[in-house]
Amino acid sequence: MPAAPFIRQAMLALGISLILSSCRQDDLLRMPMYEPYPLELPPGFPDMPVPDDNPLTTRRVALGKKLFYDPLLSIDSTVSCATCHLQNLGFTDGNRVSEGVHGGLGFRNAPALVNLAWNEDYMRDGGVPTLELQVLAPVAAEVEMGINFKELVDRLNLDPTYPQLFREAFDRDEVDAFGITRALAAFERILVSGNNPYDQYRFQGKTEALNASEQRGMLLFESNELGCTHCHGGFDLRKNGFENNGLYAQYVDSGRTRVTLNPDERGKFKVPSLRNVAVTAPYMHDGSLTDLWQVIDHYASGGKGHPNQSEFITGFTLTTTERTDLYNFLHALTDQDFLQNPAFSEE
Amino acid sequence: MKYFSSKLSIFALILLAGFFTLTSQGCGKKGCMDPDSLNYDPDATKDDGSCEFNPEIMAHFHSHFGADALTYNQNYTLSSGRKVNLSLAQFYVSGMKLTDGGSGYSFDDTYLLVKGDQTVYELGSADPGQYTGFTFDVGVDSAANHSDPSTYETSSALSPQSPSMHWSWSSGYIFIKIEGMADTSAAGNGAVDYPFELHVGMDAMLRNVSLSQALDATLNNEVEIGMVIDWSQFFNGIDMTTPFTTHTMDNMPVAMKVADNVSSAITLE
Repeated sequence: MPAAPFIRQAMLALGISLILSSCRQDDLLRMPMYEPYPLELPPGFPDMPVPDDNPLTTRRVALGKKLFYDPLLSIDSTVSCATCHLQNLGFTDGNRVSEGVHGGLGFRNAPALVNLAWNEDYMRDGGVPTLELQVLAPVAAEVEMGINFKELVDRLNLDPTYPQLFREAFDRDEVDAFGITRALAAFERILVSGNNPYDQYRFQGKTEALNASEQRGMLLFESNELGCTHCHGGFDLRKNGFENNGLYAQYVDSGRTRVTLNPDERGKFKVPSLRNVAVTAPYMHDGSLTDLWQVIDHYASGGKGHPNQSEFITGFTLTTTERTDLYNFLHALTDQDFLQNPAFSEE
Repeated sequence: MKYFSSKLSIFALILLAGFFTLTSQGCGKKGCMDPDSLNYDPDATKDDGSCEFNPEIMAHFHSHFGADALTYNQNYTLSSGRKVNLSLAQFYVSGMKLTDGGSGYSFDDTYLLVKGDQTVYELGSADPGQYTGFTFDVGVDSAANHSDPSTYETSSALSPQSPSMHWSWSSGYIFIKIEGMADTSAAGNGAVDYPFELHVGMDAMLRNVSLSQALDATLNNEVEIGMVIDWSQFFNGIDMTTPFTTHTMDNMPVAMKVADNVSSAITLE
């Protein structure tokens, strides 16, 4: 049956559209949008938990990194995430508390950003349940970045480069709150540290990774008498949870009570990882201890005896050599690869 | 399969062409042609005006301050004689339901951000029925209260708002946000110079409002539920001679008062 010219044209159009749609299907599977970020976990680490709505893709990580280093995320374009989270300091800033926009001061010490994916709570009082939600906190805080999130979305949509980057990283038309929070969280998830001398000694069979003093310090650290690993044990040198470490007899900062209103949690703060602890001074939730000697001496003292103080803080006695060994061991928790990894650095 | 065979394509196209010929030159069936209607007739070729739609429910919240309509930044005098003005007054509404003897009609997943300078809110369509009242919660239900604002469409009241209605440091919504200036002098006859913030949230601050009114929701009609918010009521029982700002966790007694004042603040028009 001869086809009329009109039908031939229609067939052609139909054929082309079929070819196009089938190409598009193939493309979806290898689309760069969903290319997974090549992440290799250190020996001894469990699988990384990643939320269903935020797969770790190369594009999201790259966009998150750009956002992390961009002061455009603050109201007057002076403060970026990296202002208070410097890579060479284990993503802390070396200050007791941090200065944000308009000279505003925070009221807690900036926490280190490391192995965040394995945390169950965020912020020192655990008020935020996911890394994606955490992004909202410093952006909105008047003493940090001080910008309304909706205004930030509008601002990035007017930027000459961001809309395109968001379209390439997300199946969405423009910059939105979903994209900003997902991209930044994706970048923060790749900030993985697991190659300090202690990791090498424990998980990689490198017995020479720790010197004699550091090995003695390690044994003290892991001993029942000191009990450090009750809270700072496991692959990330911390447990999930909150403790009152007896820093004060009376707390100005109510800690976890601020978000739970439970008086039994007064003075309890999120237990931090000790990874890179030698470069994250000053210490404690308020940055009140300036070096690791003071930290060791605090725990040796047994704390100030607050009613909520952790049962594991009972005090201990160290010889001068032991004190030095413990101090040296804490320095062996510094992961130079992490502090210098160009994948985490500003481009 | 990447391609239809040519023969199959020709066959399909002929069928398609035949269909168009039949429908465009056929007798012309009359009926409702609106696919959004309840009685959409896909075969209809001529709309006969018979389309039926579920009733559309509108909530009107008229903002007052005492006897007057509310205007932002205008001084009002409370019944105590104390002067106050508001620069922002808004709250979330969730769990909205038209009640009747039975299960009523629930507006699931519908959230309103009711603002002091906006009166009309669309709730969407409801099943037709003779309803006897309207009930809702001021605040955000627990499940949504702990959800992630960035996962909502921009059009949703739960997406990031400006000014913000979300506490990013404790991951919860601000149910009620009232800001302005007040006279905090002991005698209550001084200057209106204290900037106050009443930010009320947390699951425990959710407050129910139940209003009884006959609502005849019939097909094709719009039903309007008229309410009045008297924002002055939110100050009931608060000692205004001291700085009375609350962000809930830092001043629970005042936050609790504000929440408890919901029932006297919202009434039928």
